Amino acid sequence: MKVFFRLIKLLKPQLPLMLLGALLSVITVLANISLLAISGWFITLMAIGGITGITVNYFTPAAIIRFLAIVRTAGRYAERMLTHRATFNALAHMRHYFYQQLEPLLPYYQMDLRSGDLLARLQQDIDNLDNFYLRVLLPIFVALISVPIVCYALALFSITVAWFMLSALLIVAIVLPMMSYFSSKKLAKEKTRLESHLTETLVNGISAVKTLLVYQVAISYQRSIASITQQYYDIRYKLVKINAALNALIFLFIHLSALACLFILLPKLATGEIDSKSLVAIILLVLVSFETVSSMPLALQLLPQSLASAARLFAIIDKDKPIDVGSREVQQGDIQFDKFTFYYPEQSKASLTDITLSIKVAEKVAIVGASGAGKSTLINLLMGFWPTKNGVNTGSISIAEHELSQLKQVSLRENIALMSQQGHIFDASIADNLRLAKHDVTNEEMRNACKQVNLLEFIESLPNGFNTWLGSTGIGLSGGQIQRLQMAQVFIRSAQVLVLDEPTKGLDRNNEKIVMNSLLTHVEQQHKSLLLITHKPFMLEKMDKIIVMEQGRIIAQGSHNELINTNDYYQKLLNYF
Amino acid sequence: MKDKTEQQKKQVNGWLKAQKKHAHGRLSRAIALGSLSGLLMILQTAILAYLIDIVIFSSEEEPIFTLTQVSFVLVAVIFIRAVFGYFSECYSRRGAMLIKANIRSRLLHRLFQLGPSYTQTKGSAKLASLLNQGIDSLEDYFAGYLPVIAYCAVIPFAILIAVFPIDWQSGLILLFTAPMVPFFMILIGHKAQRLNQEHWTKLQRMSSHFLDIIQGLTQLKIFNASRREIAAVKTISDDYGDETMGILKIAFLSSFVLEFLASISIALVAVVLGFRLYYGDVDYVFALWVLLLAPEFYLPFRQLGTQYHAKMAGVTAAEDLVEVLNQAQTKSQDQQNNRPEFGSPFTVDIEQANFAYPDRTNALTHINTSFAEQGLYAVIGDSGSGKSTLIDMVLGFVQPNSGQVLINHVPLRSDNRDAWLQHCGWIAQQAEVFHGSLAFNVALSETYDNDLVHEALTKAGLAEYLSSLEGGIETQVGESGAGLSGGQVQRLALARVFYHQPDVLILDEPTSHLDQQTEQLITESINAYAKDHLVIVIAHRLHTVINAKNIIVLEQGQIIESGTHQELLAQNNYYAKQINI
Repeated sequence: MKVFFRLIKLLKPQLPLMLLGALLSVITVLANISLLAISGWFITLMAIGGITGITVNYFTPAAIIRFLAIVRTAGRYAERMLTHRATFNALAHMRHYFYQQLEPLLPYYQMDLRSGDLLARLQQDIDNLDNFYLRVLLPIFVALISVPIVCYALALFSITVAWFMLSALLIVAIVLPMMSYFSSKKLAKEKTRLESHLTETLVNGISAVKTLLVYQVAISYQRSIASITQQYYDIRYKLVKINAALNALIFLFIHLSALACLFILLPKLATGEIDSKSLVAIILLVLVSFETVSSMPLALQLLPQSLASAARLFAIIDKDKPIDVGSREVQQGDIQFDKFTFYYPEQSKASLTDITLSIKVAEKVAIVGASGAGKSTLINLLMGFWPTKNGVNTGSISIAEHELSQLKQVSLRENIALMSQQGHIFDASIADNLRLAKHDVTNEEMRNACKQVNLLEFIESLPNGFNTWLGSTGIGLSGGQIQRLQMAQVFIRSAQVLVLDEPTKGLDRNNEKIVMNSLLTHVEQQHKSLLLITHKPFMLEKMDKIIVMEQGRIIAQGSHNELINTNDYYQKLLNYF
Repeated sequence: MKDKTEQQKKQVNGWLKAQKKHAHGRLSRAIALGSLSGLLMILQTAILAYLIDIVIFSSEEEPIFTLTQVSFVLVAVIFIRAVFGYFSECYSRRGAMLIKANIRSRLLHRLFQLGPSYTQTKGSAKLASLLNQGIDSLEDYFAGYLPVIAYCAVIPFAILIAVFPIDWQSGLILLFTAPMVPFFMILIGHKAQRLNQEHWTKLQRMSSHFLDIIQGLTQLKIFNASRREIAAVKTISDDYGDETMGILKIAFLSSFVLEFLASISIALVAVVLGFRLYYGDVDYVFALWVLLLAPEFYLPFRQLGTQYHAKMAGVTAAEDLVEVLNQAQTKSQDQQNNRPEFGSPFTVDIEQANFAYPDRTNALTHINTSFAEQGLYAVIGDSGSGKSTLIDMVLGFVQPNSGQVLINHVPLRSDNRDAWLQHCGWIAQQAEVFHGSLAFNVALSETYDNDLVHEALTKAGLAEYLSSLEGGIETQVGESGAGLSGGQVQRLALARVFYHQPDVLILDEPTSHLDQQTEQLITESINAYAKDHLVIVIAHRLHTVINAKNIIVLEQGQIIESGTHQELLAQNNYYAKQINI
């Protein structure tokens, strides 16, 4: 309930439009119901008039019928326009809100959950809320307003019929959907489990086609997919049956109610308490009155889903935000790690142990080591993604002799440019992607940076040049091209320190040579510091200092010439094809 | 998407229709029951009209049937319709599920026929989502759209037959408006479709942008651009709304026309009937019946409008499905009439092989080499030099465009590939872990020999890890199971090899990302294995190749040199330049 009201509160700016849309919905539904009822009343009136020969005023009912027909049609159109408009407004507002709230939390909390999973769920949850107004709130509102109106109208003729219909409508709107919800709850859980099992097995298998074929298990894999599919569909079929039964029951209720009302009213007709015209009108009204609750089963089905999604989102955005207390601007200076030991939040094993190293202004430093040695952690800390002064951590990191935790994060990222391995290229144009790195980048700068990474020729060969759209809806870049584009982004940034995490991974030798030469020229000319993480021996001899890491510790540091004779790991690293 | 020719469209539609047979008659049964229920509806409204007629005008003459009799019949009809509706829904969904299951298994089968080179170029994530969500989006096409199409043909027609003899004016009103409905819908639908296609990319871009922001949030922070981009989310969402409203407006307009026609003609029918009743032209019971039938006349058309989306989604998914299913295979799958058998020891000869991926320059040119009996063979070269393609060729996943691969002097083709693969093992650079138990991952089969699994895991250096697991070899691993480190995964792949003991082992440098300790263990194991098996490895590090029987150096798809470590050093070429000793 708390979640529900919090959601409503979020939607507050859209409420007037939403209410207006809902009112129009009510009017449309009511016009539709009255249309048939009055039509029935009218032809009965005319039939009686014909038989008895009494003149009747047929102008008014005929006009009402035409009027209702127009209200119904125009109302439906206006209602749809309004409610959808409100939906999109709400969507824009909610997305913005949640994204704003998420911003300080990432990547800090990515350690909690496997990041892919977390992000996919976030996206799914926000998507789930898209329909909250249209499919959940609106039907409930329409039912809440129009059911009493319908029942009041019926009460004018017969209290019994009114009570009877109120209970029938409630049963169709709430009781039956609830019954189906509870009887399918367990199955629905099982369905979700099988669904993700199927997805996982498919993703897993398709990326391992080679292994499956070599080990001759392709057939048994296909069989297992077929059997999961079958299990999944068997469960789905059971759910379909429940749903079909629900629909059949609702159908029975609607049609039998009309018949029941007829029998309730029979004695009254005999006593003359009700005339035959009204009787026909009531029967027809009863038949169509169920339209007021027709969307309720779906709404009740979606309500718990939406609330669960909202609850998950609220739980995430309510997490403690890492506090950014730093207030000092970053000055250019040496970066110094001093006996620094670091634990990720809620981890008992240190990810970095006793790290002492310095990166002086305009110094070129390389870090080598196997994956899991702590290289990426080191970078993340330098970017201010995790608080360094936190409980169990000891030692310090400083830039120009100022403790890292006292520095402004914005200023920190202004001064340190990072090309990470998890870098993300956006579904946007090439120019847009470059503009992310520097929002006022000039065409000249873009061309220059792309030339440095040997991408300019390729970009200019594209029909739309820098305006070419990338990503799933645009052209796909090869892994090597993505690497180089990200490198171009780093070149564009006006930071004093460049940090690159395996920038040449997957590049062919020719491009590797070009980009590494550009990089070295760039830092030397502009007097910048360079921190390079690498698996490859290429150009390590041009570095001022090389640091060898293993399992969170620095096991050696020195120049290329020092290490080549003393360090076993370094020697092995150099013999790389 | 843009330049879909009419023929392709027809092909996709034809393909979709042809899938109906896989429902084993369930769809037809669903449609038959639904149509029958529609016909019973005509009867039901007739009975209701009759019932009301008895009630109101009972005084004038004695009715043929009593009130109770008629009511019983009415209740019976209602029950029959409820039952029909229930079974119709069940059958149609079940039918759609059968069709989807069938398509999924055919598509999967086809993907395995096409092999890893195809799945890699297409992108395995994309194919997996096509197999999953892509196929699922066909459900509403089969269970929703197709039946409604049938109802549109049957029910309005039956209503017309019922109405005309009673009241030809009302019949004419219905008949006249009926063709206007599809006419306007097609007219507006065409415009909507054109609009749709124009805006489709734009909409997709916007919605993918939302996902992008979440996935790229860290990247944005690195650029100090996160606040700015999140502010843009609002504008983009608003634009998204505007664009979508533009399309929806058209859709709403089409249903507006439909509703307008329906309302006006119902109103007209009511008024016309009223006056005919007034002049005593028609019996009340018939008039009421026609009035009750009028809204039902338009119901199937209205349902068709709501199913339009299902149709679009189904056709879009089908386009991708047809593309994969119609993908020409590299070589025709000859009948396996003389099922070939291979026996160890093995000699693999590659003779004058050339290969190019479609529309690309040669990946491999004039490859001549051989791998014989036992020992370690290494393939080295830059990324993009054709190492992986060469391995795929040895495994039979790509066939040379010219030249051939001989296994024990028998040409390797798609028909004897499986017989050859029975003797092969494979370890990827980053091996895969499958959903299932540890033992399943070693044996790749639900049935396995416990002792052999233990032995294989021990040999691969996982004994310590195994003893730390409560569930032993039955422990679930994979995404939802216990996490394995990169090193453990590679060792698991090694255990897979020890379990299967393939005569030929092929690896893509399995140690390039590992710490020294694990690296050493795996390298030693592989060297030991190479003593009495044929091992071919794509190598990145000197210590892997130093003991190799033959080292093949690839550059831009050609073998530029080959020989043992010593021989290559003596040649003082590419290889020698990479070595720092």
